[in-house]
Amino acid sequence: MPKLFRQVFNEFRRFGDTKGIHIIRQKIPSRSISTYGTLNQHAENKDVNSENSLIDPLEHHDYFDIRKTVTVKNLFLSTAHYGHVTGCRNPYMTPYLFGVRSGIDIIDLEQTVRHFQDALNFTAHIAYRNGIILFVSRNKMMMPHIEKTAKACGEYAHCRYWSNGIFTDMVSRLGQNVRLPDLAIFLNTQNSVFQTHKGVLDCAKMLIPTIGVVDTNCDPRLISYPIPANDDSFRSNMLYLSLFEAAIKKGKAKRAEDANM
Amino acid sequence: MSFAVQNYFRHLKLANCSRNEVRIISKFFLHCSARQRQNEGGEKKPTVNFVGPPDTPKSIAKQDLISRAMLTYLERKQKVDEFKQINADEFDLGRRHLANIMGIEEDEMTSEKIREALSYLMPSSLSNRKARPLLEPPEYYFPQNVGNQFDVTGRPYHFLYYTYKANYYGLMHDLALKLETLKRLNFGLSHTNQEQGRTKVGVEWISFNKFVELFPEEKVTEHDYRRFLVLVERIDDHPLGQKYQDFLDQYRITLKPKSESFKLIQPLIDEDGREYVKNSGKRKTSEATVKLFNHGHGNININGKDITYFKDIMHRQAILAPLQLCGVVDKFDIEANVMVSAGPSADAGAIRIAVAKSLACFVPDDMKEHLRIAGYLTVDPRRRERKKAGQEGARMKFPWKKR
Repeated sequence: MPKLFRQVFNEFRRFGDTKGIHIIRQKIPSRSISTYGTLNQHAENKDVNSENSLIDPLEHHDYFDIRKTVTVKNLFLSTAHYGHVTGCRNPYMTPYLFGVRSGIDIIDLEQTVRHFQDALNFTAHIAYRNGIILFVSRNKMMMPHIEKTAKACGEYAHCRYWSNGIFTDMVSRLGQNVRLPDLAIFLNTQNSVFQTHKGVLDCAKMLIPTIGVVDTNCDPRLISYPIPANDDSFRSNMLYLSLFEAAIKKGKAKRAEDANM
Repeated sequence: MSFAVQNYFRHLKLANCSRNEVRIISKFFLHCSARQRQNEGGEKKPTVNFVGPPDTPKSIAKQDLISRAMLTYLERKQKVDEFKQINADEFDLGRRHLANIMGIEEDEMTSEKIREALSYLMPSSLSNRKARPLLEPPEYYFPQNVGNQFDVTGRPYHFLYYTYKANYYGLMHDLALKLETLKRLNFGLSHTNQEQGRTKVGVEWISFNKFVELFPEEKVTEHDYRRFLVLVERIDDHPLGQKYQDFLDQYRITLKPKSESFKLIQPLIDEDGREYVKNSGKRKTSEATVKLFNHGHGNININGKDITYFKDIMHRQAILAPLQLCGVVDKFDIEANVMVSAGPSADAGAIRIAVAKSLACFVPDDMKEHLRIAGYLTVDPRRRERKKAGQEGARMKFPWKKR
């Protein structure tokens, strides 16, 4: 059972407690385990690693055993709950908010955790099937780290200027058909001038699923798997990178394991 | 959730699979298809479009396993190869024909001989060399295409492939990581520990044109080049930048002193066994030749006279200036012959440059560079300005009075 956000908040008083927060969170229906999908209870009870078991990985809600890697506490300690000042808020982000504290939006980390777990699960599934995963961001500070991570897990990165038609006009650009990515992970869904990254629209056009870390000033509508969280701080970004890297590596390891069975 | 995931996989059509993958996929969906067969009466195949029939994995031909991107590439490469072969054959035919005309053996028809033959057979007065007739192998005018960039499943080899400038951005990535490393190293170091005062004389970064050549088939712009310069200079200026100097040196060129390109004459020996160098010099219209003898005593001979050939001190100083700069006035003998005289200043200038050129053959390289910087090795190009019509001289006007 994950710790409630409020409890964690009060546990680490140095970040301020919940007293000053004007809470705007609606009452969220307590999320039963069934909301993770059509969970096959039968599959759940079976041992994933046993040789005789024939489980459809897609039916299993945590085939790669990665949901536990995200917790409210580690997100909180990496300052993932800080949003922007209320004036910058994108109205589509309101449902993901916990409250407002001294004019700054606080993101509801309980929701973030669930979204993050789904996103990681999806990432691992894509990696499991040898899909191409593209890390995208225009955050200059994070650029070398994102590219390094992509290289480390054998995937791809695009942290540079996004010229139009990079996916949509590939044939005339490169003179040949190139396999497009099967998943784009946006560590930052905005370009360097605070507009939505062109890649988000391009991915939507080409039916490429996207995972995006959306801050309170971002538009989550075109992202397949939005993760409401702070996308500006170095610490939180490094946490997201390590989580995605672990998910991809687990997916690939599982693939190798299943192939040898 | 799981429904959504499955839906995405349908869209993706991850059918670009290896033999290994067929095994995995068939294992994944054995479960599904078995259930489906139960529901549908056992006979029908599963309708999931990206799964090969799980019970007959061998029926998938090897051709199907290669991705479409790879197929397109292979087709394109085959076409390019055919085109190249045709051009190579044509070139060879032309070469042999030319050898036949010129009466040379076919094997001796090298590219140099071809050029000679063409300029003889088809003389062209076009000033632009590129516009003249030429016969070159096809590699000369068709760009070399880069090798294969994908594996069998269509995954690009380079992790920055989707940026379209993989190699350029790969270099920028390496540089950025190096800078990050330096920043981390610098943390906690006091200023006294840092290296200071590194001098970078005589080196500069490679030019834009050279830089572009490093990345064939990539559209590297001038803006990209400027970004590169910013990054390398930041690493270079970093107090601990010495760590990566070897890496940075790949992108540097060393400038040669200009005096190195100066032609030196080997000293000759005269009948008396004295080492000398003979040079000529010009200034305005006067011309002089100078023999500079090594191991001399400061003797000067100008047209049979000594230094009193020049009445002015200034002119006497002028011919001795190069020797004075090197501090060897009493170690060389000058034997000058002014063939065409145009006045003492011009004579002195002509002798001076001849002396300096001769002296450069005896002194070490750094002294030679001093001579060049002082201007003694530079020819004075100034000439007498012509008289203009309607004027007294070059600039002077006729006297003019109103009335």
